[in-house]
Amino acid sequence: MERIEAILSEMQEASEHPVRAIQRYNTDDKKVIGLAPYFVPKELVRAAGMYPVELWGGDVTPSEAHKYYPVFYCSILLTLMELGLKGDYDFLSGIIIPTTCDGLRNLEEDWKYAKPDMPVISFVQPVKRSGDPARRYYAAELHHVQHELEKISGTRILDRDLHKEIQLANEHRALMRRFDEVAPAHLDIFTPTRRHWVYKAARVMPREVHAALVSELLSLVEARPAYDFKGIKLVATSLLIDSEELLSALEAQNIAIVGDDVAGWSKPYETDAPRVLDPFLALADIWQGMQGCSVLYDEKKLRGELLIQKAKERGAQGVLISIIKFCEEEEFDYPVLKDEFAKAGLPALYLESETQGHVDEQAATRIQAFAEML
Amino acid sequence: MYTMGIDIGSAATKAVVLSDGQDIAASSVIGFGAGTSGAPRAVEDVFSQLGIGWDDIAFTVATGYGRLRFDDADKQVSELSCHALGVHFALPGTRTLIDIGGQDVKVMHLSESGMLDNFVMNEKCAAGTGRFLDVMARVLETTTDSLGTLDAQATAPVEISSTCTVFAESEVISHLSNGEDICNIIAGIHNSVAHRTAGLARRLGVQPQVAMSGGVAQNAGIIRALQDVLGTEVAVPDNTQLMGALGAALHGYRSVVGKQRG
Repeated sequence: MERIEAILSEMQEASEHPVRAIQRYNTDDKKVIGLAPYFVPKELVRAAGMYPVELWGGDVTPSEAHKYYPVFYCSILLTLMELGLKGDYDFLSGIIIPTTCDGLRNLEEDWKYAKPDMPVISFVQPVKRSGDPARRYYAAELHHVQHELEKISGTRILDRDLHKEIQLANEHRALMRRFDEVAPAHLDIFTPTRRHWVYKAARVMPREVHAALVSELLSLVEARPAYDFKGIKLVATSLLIDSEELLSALEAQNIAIVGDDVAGWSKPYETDAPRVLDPFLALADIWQGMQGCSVLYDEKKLRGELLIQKAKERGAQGVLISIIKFCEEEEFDYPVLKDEFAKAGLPALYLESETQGHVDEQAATRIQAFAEML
Repeated sequence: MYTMGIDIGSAATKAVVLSDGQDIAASSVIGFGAGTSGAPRAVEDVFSQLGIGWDDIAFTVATGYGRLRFDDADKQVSELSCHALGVHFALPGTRTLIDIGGQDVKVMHLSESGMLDNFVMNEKCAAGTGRFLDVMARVLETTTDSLGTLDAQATAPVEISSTCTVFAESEVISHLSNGEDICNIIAGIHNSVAHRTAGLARRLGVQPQVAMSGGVAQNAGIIRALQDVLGTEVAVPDNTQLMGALGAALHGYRSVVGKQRG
């Protein structure tokens, strides 16, 4: 148990102090590239010999960012911009900003204006995610990112190196999927907060460091008997659940998370790159293969169905729907999800959250009332 | 046997002492909520009405936003569960319950046994809450208690379209400066609150019988507007402001009986 605690503690440290974590793990003093949400392939940055770091904003009260954004705006983008303007990201050698949602398109334009000294790499992901033209469009856009990264790194990204990184990433994804399956049998260890640390640490740790820790964690945990959890099991759906206060409020009501489709948690690990000759097309196949996320155009609207299936598999009694306040993509999905969960007999706990940690009394009351209802 | 429920809300504290899970032996409403002297004053009030003290109370349940900081409670229960139980006790056929509190709006579905089946709450701001009505009453130089009576005198309610308390306030001031009749403005405010609340209720689904609890339910203008917008009768229990505290006291009674039965 001591080693399990030590591993989780290292992940907690990386989650709570990302800059310190980068300084600790970036021993070769590689150039660091920031990746704005959502789903930018780290493989490409690593193949360029640089250090990728995911940027999701943080627990900061926006002030300077309001020069660019109204008060009622997505807190991921608001706090990302705030931290950028305050100089917290000045150690970056560049930032890749995709166009997954309308807000990100604006962020890219505003960032160029606000931070003229930092290279901004635009990454236009195609909205339509099926068919060969869309696949080739995505690959062409990745080539644009490749060229911009090569300018920063001063080295060429070889297909051979990208193939190697894709293979390593596939192994890491498989490991994280195993974690997702094993953790629900050990809810004494993997409370919502600790489960969160495992995912959040991966945003800043080098892939090999994170993979080694998760692998050791799994071998230690799997040697223990399954824990007979008596509380409430939920599956979670969201783009981001980063508020530890919110996760603590769930724990206070003896609620555990046994699965999710959260973009900041398990979603990036669901889909592997296939073995194809062109590594850029392999990465395009991940983009085309992902399902069940509000920022991914989904012709079949599978998000609810996939969650219901996961809830049944994991014995969940309900669903936590945590929406980033003022996120249109999430708000538009909600009525459909709500009806689907109701038809499946799955009670839904609806919460709105922000990247700022504060949880008000209303959220605490909702969580308690939901627990009482079940 | 006495059990006590104390509902420490954002704007007021309500206490109910229940006798044998059946009769309200004493009750109190103090116009101060969480973090104020409201809770001790409400307790002192019901104790003095009955000439009893803590030793005479078999079980105490705290609810409302101040519930977690009331150390004398044996248990804390969310106000949603308590309102559901309280209203089921007062109006047993209720299936959809609307509670407009000081700082939020809740819509609940109740099971046949009065248990909370599902719920939704308002998001983002205070528009449409009790606090919103307080602000509007102040702007109109009247009191919250008078809003219902003045609403009944309206002939042509104005439109209040803003979804934010601050902007709605400036909209109301604009109507005032245009010489609009105060009764028509109040009816417009009530319609605005009703539309927002009905939108929330429709998110959950409106199942008859519909009832409303909480202090704002004492405002006949809100009930009138809600009935108009929802197209169905909205029942209001007697002592509507006490429903949370009553439900808490019932919870307490059930806890004691449950323990006795082992």
